Amino acid sequence: MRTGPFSDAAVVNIINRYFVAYHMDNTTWSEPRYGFVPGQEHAYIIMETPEGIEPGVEKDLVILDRLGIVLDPKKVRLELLGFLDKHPELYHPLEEMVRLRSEDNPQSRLRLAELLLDEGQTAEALALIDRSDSLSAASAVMKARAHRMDADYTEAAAALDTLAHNTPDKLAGDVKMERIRIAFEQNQDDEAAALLDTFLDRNVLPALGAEAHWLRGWLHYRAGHEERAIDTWSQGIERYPPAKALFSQKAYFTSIRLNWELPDNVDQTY
Amino acid sequence: MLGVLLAAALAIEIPLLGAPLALEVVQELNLLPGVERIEVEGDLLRLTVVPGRAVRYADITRTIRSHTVATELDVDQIPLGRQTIFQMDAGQCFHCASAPLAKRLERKPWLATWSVVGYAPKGRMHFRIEPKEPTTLEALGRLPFEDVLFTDQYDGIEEVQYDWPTGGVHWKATEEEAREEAARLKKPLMLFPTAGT
Repeated sequence: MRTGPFSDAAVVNIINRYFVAYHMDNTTWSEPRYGFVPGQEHAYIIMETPEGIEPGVEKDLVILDRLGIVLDPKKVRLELLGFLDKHPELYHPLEEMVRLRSEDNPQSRLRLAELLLDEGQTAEALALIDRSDSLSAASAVMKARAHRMDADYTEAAAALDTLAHNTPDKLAGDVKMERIRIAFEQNQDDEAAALLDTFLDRNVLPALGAEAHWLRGWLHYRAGHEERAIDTWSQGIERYPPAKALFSQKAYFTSIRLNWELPDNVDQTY
Repeated sequence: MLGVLLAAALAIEIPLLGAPLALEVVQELNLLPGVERIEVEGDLLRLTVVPGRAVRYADITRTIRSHTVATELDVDQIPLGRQTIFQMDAGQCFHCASAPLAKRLERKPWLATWSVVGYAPKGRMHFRIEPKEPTTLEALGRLPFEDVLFTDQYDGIEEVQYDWPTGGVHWKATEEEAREEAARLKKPLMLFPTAGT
């Protein structure tokens, strides 16, 4: 289950924060570029050092052209981070992250952990969360998110259990959604469906609402109900326009590509 | 008058071939999704579409066939235009489907313009064909479309508004702009070439 790297939040955040991105239409090329002919069908990703870099620093060009990498958000994320590691002179951390690192209080640590989780940096985020206020509801939700991203579902659920009887209203949607993600990612479809069915009609933030429709659609699909899946995605798209919600975009692209065959060697995990 | 009658609601007239349609068929046609009103006058079917909705040619023919094989829509007389949207199964590649279509359509001397206006579930591509003068489907010859939608949903859309890798990435508008900004900010470039969509 995937829609390509550019609808993955961690990949998108890393590109937007640390790269300058351009989508080229190669059908307009008059001659081959980067070793590819005009109109090349298979997707590929190019990472390139900019013009005018420091004297003595070599120009570098990395082309990701294996579908198993290009279509896998986790691998693309690692490739992007690897390119930045190779070129520390081109890595400019967010100003907010630099500031937060210089501050030593629980709120700053928690905010920094959130920014790191947005890039998929779970280890450093967890270390910061553990040094923040362990009684805070926000830190429990973030801890659950980090453990889930590491596929440590027992720890993720345990973090949420600490909020069982004292979830602040403003975090209720996040807690519920995190429980849904934990069930969904473990293929506990009945539990995920039951949680989602009480969540879909709520008035929640667009990001959560769109994700809920996306996941519910997949549960229908997994159960063999393709048309119901498309209906659910269509409802989500109508309610949360793709231009404003990443998961509506994923739903849109998935629904138009449902009958497309994928290469056997491509990891199709979520 | 044959053709698309632009009014508050989209109205289309399509001739019928064969026996007159029974009243019960017309009543059932009026229950189809997107139909504001369907009237039959002699051998002419007059369709009015609910604004913002779509009526499918396949739904109309399926309904008629469920009652009789003695009557059918004269598909050749479907008017081409901005609100007549063809649906094609693009298979695995929209570019692969639209490129040969372009070659074929652009040989038609009566063609003013044509455009892909949307992508729909399961690899379906929606496009419209606009003639210089009132023209019907007959002028196209055989075309591999699987359905026709009568709708104003694509009004104002000149071409498909989505390219699939958009995601949440802040793509620069031009390669020149991207290269200039990368050099100025000393950031690496991330380029993503694709064939059209």
